[in-house]
Amino acid sequence: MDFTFSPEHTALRRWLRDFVEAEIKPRSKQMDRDSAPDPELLRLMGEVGLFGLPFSQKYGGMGAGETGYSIMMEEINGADASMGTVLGAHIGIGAMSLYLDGSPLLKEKYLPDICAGKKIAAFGLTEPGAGSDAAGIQLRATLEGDSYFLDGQKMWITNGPIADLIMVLAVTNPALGARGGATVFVVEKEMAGFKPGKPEKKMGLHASPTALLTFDEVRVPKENVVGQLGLGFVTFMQTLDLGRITIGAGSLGGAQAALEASLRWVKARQQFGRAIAHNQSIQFMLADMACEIEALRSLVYRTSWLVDNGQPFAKEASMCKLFGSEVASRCIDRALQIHGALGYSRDFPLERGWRDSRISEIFEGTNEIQRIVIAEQLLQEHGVRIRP
Amino acid sequence: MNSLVVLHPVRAPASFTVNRKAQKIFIHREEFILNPSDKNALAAALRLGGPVTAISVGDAPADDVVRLARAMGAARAIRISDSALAHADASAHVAVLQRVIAHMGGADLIMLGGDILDSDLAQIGPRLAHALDWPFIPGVHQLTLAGQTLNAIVAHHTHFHKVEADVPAVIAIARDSNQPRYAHGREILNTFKAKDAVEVLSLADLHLTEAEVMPLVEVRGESFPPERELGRMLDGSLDDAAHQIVEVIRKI
Repeated sequence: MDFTFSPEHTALRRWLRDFVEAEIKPRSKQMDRDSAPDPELLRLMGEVGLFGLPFSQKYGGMGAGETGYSIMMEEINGADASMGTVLGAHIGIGAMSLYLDGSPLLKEKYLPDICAGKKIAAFGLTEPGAGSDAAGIQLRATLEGDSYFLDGQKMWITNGPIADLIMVLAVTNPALGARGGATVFVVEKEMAGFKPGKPEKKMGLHASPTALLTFDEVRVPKENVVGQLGLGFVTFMQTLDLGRITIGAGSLGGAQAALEASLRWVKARQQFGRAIAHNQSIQFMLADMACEIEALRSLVYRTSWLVDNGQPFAKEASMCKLFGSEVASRCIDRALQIHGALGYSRDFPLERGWRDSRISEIFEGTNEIQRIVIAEQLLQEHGVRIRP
Repeated sequence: MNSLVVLHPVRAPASFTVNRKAQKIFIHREEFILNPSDKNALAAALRLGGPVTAISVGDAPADDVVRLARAMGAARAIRISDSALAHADASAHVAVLQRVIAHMGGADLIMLGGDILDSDLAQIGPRLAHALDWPFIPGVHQLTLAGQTLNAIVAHHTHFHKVEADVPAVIAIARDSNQPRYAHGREILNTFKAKDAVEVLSLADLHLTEAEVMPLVEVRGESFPPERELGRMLDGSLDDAAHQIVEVIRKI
């Protein structure tokens, strides 16, 4: 057993840390106020390769694998969960479905620009009537000649307002429904009939734009089908499995940053004639945070290792998302309590972290859905099949 | 134009604390960074064009900084590693660097950072120039090359000087005088993975004996400058403040 990171992953983390300190941290507060990502930052992130971090160098990616991807999400979310979410939606779910199941032709056409950050990707699954019940999607794709015509809506789409390419799950065979009758398409934002809505006003993740997408008879050529016709639901579910590790890794970064801020503060803050670090009530909170963070770190990097070594990982990925999001919420909440009124102030980054972290218990499969996934797998391992 | 850039790893500022009461430096973790002005020197060398060789003396931290240099665009990385260099001072470094230049078959330009974050010595530049009998320009903010002539902009207290020198020369680049470009992440991964990214040389490879790198400086201990007392803000009008200052000076 070896718990050390490779020299290249260690170097990657150091390199990321420099980038985050110099380029992301100084911009975060303003981007949160502006409710928009800084275009100059997005350009720079593309220039250094962040938008293609886990993908093969063959397609212009960095080739850092799932472990490298988790390292990035940890480092970036520690400073700015909005930027982590822009990257996560682009790489982990948007481009990933194309990377996993796209034809060589589609990959060669789109992946180099995706990896360079010249084209931003989004993942179109959720609809007004299909959230946790993802199989209930209604967006239709009808074949006419050599093209499909897409008609319907996608909702709460991360990167929606800034995306150049949207992976859309559409029903191609209504008789079969999502399971067996749904297909993934690559939609370009320039295609006639596609319209992103205004960015939603959210509690947190202000700099990560989210929107309703409308498809009004959007003509998509047959070549833009990702994977096999009718098997799009499988592609999307496999993509989401991987995305769940990312949420765990991002949560790890957020929780760790909250602990570090707390450690700095308890040494500096004097009450009753001494640093509050000497109060047992504070020490207990720090110890609880550190334990949970360490457990989460082990889970996230072991699961990443499973992916990089070609082993099954779906159950562990759900655990990363479920446990990670709850650890982050608890740790950031405790850190806020330790900081007192300062933690509640908008001048201090904890308040933003508190707002930003809450969504991780909701998006990419609510934590209730994660519990169902974990229980299903657990029971299956013991010979019980819950659902057909 | 063959440039050689000398790089130093320094302890990351967040990896240690200085305790004045105990007169001790507490090192929390082994973490090193590339000396900031050396990064500016590397960026300046890369901007001039021509192959750049990065060199550092030492073990794992030195390996990291020359690898980073390769990821940023240096064509070649050399690390000098020898147990006899464990306490190497500036004179030992100068002896080593002279031989490295010979080993490389010569160089047109040697560049290094104008200051060293931890020891604040930065003696290698002037002493190497003296040993080679090459011109030395310290504190360079801008550097261009026309034919065989270097044009440098050098900062002084109130103004800038324009300085010329013919190659070969030794140039010390001022900290923050340029903005180094980030290495692409792909280069970071590939360089830190590659077994052959760095050439490692020992004293024997450079035909140097231990006697030739004997340090002249011996560190016997560290002391800390006294902490400065807090200043005092003077209230009132300009005249009042002036009177108060006079009173303070009288008491000295």
